Amino acid sequence: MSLNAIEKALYDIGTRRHASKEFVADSDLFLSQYLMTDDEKALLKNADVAGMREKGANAMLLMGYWVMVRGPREMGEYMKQMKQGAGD
Amino acid sequence: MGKIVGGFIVPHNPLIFNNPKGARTDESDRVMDAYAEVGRRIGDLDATSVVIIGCDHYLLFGPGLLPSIHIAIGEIDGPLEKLRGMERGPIPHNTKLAEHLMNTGFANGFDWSVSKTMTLDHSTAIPYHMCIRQNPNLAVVPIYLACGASPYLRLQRARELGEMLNAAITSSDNDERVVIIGSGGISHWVGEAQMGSVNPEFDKEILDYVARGDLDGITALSDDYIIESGGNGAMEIRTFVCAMAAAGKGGAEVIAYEPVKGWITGLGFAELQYA
Repeated sequence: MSLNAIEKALYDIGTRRHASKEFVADSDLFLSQYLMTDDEKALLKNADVAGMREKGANAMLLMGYWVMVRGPREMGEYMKQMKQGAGD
Repeated sequence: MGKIVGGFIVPHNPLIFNNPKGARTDESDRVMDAYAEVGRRIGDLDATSVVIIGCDHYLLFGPGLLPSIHIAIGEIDGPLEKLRGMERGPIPHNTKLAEHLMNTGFANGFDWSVSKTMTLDHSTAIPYHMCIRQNPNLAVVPIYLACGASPYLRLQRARELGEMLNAAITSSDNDERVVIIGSGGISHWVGEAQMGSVNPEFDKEILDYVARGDLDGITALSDDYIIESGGNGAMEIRTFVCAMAAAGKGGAEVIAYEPVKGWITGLGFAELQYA
């Protein structure tokens, strides 16, 4: 498990506009820069925030990543995923 | 001799700017009145500088570098984030005071990370915008504590840092009149499944520690308890601990408290007694 690498990718995508554009344009190419397993890369590609939270990713990073990739108007979906992941 | 002339705790909620209608009008009015009251009280103190103790939100600092304690000594601007009605711009700084605090820290076992220039995030830029900028000639020294991501600064270390700041300010050979601000929300779950929850009982517990000046009590709280009761955002009470210890005397007057679900946070304002 590469939690630190997941958080590095989340941080880069969530705080750097050029990185988020590269991720959206070609996620496989973008994620090839990070030492992660294919399953971990799939969590990022699928915007599986609940799955990443379950692995221990910081929730502030997850929200920043989501806002950059999906946009602030989609926070309802973010919360739906997070609540389902928490078993609510 | 330098002197501490005031101390406060205030929140720094960005939703005040980016979702102003998230709060009811009466809630919003009370929060804005509290910020204005803090600004008015700072204006009455004839201060020269304000030390704002804030906290990163995994925005300024990333997994590649996570400082425990950080100080900016040179030119500063902010905010880093886009906040409606708050344009990014220069913020008055005080390099002489900041370097004195930095060097006193170095001499006493506090090995800060240091910014020679820095774009401040909302945790220090919002208190500046809401409470300080209307008071002309006040300069800012920003300090950041690790509150947003593990490894967190220990509460006891936040207290020790505050005690060092008090000694550094009161032993300085200039005539600085310094206000200390601890900037943080109380209960809030940032990005978590519980985001939108507020825990007024926990918030009251924390404000009671602040009002009593009970540093032993608040520093005895475990991180697990804080996160369980107040969410990951409540780790920001480290800034309260540091400000309480820096103010020196103990005790506080709670100016306002609002549990605002629409702004996902318990918001507390207090004026610290100082010595």
